[in-house]
Amino acid sequence: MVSKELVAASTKPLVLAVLSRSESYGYAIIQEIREHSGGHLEWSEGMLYPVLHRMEKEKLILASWKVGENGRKRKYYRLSASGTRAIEAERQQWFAVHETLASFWGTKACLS
Amino acid sequence: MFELETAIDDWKLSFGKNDVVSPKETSELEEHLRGLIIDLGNSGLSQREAFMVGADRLGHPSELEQEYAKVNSGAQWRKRVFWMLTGYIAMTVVGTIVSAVVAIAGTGMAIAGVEGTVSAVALIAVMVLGWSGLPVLAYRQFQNLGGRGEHLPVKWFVATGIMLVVAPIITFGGRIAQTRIVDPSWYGESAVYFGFGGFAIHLGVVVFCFIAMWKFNNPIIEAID
Repeated sequence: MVSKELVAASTKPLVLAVLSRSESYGYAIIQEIREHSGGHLEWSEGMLYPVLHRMEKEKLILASWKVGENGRKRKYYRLSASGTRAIEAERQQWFAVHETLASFWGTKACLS
Repeated sequence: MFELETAIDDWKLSFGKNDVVSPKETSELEEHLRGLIIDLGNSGLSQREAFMVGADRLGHPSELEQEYAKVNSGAQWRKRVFWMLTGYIAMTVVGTIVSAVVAIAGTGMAIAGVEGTVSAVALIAVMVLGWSGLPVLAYRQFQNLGGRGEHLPVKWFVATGIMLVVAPIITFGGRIAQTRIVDPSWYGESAVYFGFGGFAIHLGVVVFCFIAMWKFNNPIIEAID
């Protein structure tokens, strides 16, 4: 299981990554991250929302209320232009960390 | 019998207490909880179990509030300053009413021929009573201190602070100068000037307060609807 601190640090790039595919709402974003992580990333799901709101304030993402398929109002998030640009910066940072660690430990053996 | 809607309502109430999580944010969390309850229910949990597990997955309300507080502190501060300015305007209005009452009472007493000392004491009593709202306001402001103002529009905050401090100082300074420096023979005439000067300063501050309130309040209104 990934530590709480690391999950907190990776929430922003994960949200950017999910939203770069299509606009989405909180619950679906969590589902998608869970599927992609194979269940290794778990956190208090509510913690996603303050992060989303901070990113919204930073104009990385834009939000709009829409009526979902269940007939209830839902807040949808999508990437802004600066959010799209932020992805590249995040990618470089995470790869820098990843490559550094990989140079010590080697990359994970490919299972397939 | 477990009532899901009642349970959700109770759960929502645990967020509204401290004004940290706005109603819209609460409804967003509620949406998430409902999603969890449906999915967990589909995987075989009872409604009650699904609610318990779902609420647990979302996280403890107090922890969530802490996270929201970090993001919302700017808005909270704007709200506080907004109320402070509202207080100032209310104070000005109250002050005007108090002055009017004092003037009327003074005139009445003068006409009735009440002795000078008695009327002065009575007028001071009226003033004190009228202005007793001031410590209440100060207490409110004091209560509101604390928390972090990350996104506060600094420029406006400083300007407001200066206005609220400087304007009364100028007014009081004027009064003191009037009694101490001005020649008694010119006292009556100078009182008129000071009266107008004080009024102008007061009016300026009130106008400024309205502008500042508008500036502070504007960002609170959510752009998304």
